[in-house]
Amino acid sequence: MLKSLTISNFRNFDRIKTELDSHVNVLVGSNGHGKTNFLEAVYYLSLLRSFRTNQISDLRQWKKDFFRLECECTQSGMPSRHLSVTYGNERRLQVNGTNIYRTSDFINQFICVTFIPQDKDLIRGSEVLRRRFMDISLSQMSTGYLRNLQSYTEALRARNAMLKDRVKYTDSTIKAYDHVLVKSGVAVEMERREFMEKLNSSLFEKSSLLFSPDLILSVRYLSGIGSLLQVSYDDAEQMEEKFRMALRKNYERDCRKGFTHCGPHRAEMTCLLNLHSLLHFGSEGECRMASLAIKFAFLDVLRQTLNSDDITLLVDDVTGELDTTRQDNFYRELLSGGQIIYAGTFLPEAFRGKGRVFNVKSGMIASL
Amino acid sequence: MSNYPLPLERLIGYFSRFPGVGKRSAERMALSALSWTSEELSDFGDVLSSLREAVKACAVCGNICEGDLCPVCLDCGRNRELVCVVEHASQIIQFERSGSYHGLYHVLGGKLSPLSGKGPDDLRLAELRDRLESGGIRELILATSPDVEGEATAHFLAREFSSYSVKITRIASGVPIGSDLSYADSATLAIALEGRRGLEQ
Ligand SMILES: [Zn+2]
Repeated sequence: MLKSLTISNFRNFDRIKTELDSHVNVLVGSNGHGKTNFLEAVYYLSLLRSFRTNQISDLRQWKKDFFRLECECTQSGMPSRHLSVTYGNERRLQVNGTNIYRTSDFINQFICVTFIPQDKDLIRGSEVLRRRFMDISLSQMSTGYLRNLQSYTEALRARNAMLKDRVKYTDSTIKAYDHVLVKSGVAVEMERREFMEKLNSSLFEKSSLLFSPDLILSVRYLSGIGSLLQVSYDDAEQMEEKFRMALRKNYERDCRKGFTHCGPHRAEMTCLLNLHSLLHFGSEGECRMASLAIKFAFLDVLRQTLNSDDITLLVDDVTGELDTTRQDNFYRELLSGGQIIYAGTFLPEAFRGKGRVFNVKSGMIASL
Repeated sequence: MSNYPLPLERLIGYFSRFPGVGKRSAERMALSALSWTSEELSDFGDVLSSLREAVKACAVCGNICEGDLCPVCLDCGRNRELVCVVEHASQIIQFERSGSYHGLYHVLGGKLSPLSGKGPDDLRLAELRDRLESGGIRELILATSPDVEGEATAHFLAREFSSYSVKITRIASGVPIGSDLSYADSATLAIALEGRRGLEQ
């Protein structure tokens, strides 16, 4: 949970300091005045990434040398911590005044889940976005996942670099990376499969918030290792053997093309409505609602895994195209636990009389 | 005055090339050298100018030393059947401080690192092959870093030397994954040596 936030030289904010309510915070203002920037700042402190850009230097205010974000936060009743990020020529991270050098030691000091317009790309956007959803979600639930993903990515990059230079790197050098690639890759694969199973059992319940009961929403994990649908997710050895075989089978092709054709980096998550792929057959509205349902199911899985409600929900007006019943369901689900930071053009009825309301105008924020 | 006199600036430039020394520290070091006696400064200069001549790589293992052979290779009390393969000579000092290893060493001069263009040809493999061929070695202990590249290098070596009748072992990761072996403490290294394991080839 976020207790206070200080933002300097970030997007359109010069310097603002805000104390937050432990339950409901509503940011009201016209578009383009900085509501989403506020959510982005909170998200950055939690995960050291933005949900809008990969170009972090873009977050600096025009003509400023650095931006700085600071917050006071707690997680599940632990003593509160002071986090700060200063991003100038380089990024400097501190927790309680002590320098932190590794991203993995800084992130997830408080846990964030977004409900933002970009979520709909989860269904229809590129497969990269679905893998990113799985990877970020899992890194919030498991520190081992992030470590294995980093090892896998490093081994994969090294392997691809070698595949492109067969004069310098012989077969035996390339194959020396198989061990790390297979071990970390299968660990990633197993956690993703387990996550998809949990997501499905939550979806079974949460899809009724947005879809009529005769429609069944589900997700399916398509492995990047090969057709592994028969292999149960808890058999690591069997999966490692499959991955080794797949690497062997694809080796000639990998060498010819200069990159690795199989592995968790090629995995896909498909979303199905009554077993029809939404990517191919879903309407605009169905995709929008499916992405919301998946986010709620993820939130449910996250709460169970962390065994805690202490999650900060960043909500950027996504209800626009929902009918009243669905809007009511949406707000009721949000209010079922945790901290909400909601950004919108007006104060929703569901939040009236709860928590704090802020007015955001031209990069200034005022408590009402 | 925005700059120091040129000779001092040059000295600052050199000091700031050392790892962990920033611009400010380099300035303080250079200014402090100004207060030394002429004898001290001239001795400092001699030490530096003869450094390359005076410190060499051991002809057998690649350790840094004064003569042709390093003290470890010259020591008749060491177990010559054991060879511990490390990335850098600096790691030998760490193993020696742990006091729990009495075999010989072999310095690779790095690890496989395709992303920085470093391949098998950039490692001291031919020298290791020579040592294995001249006989007497019964066990190779692979002590490359427990990170992705170090692990891949160990697997590479295990396969590369599998034809020799020598036992190939890998130190256990008493050292956290992702860390640099150069900065591990001696106690951790002792545990890591204790739990070395065989490597499938
Ligand atoms: Zn020697």
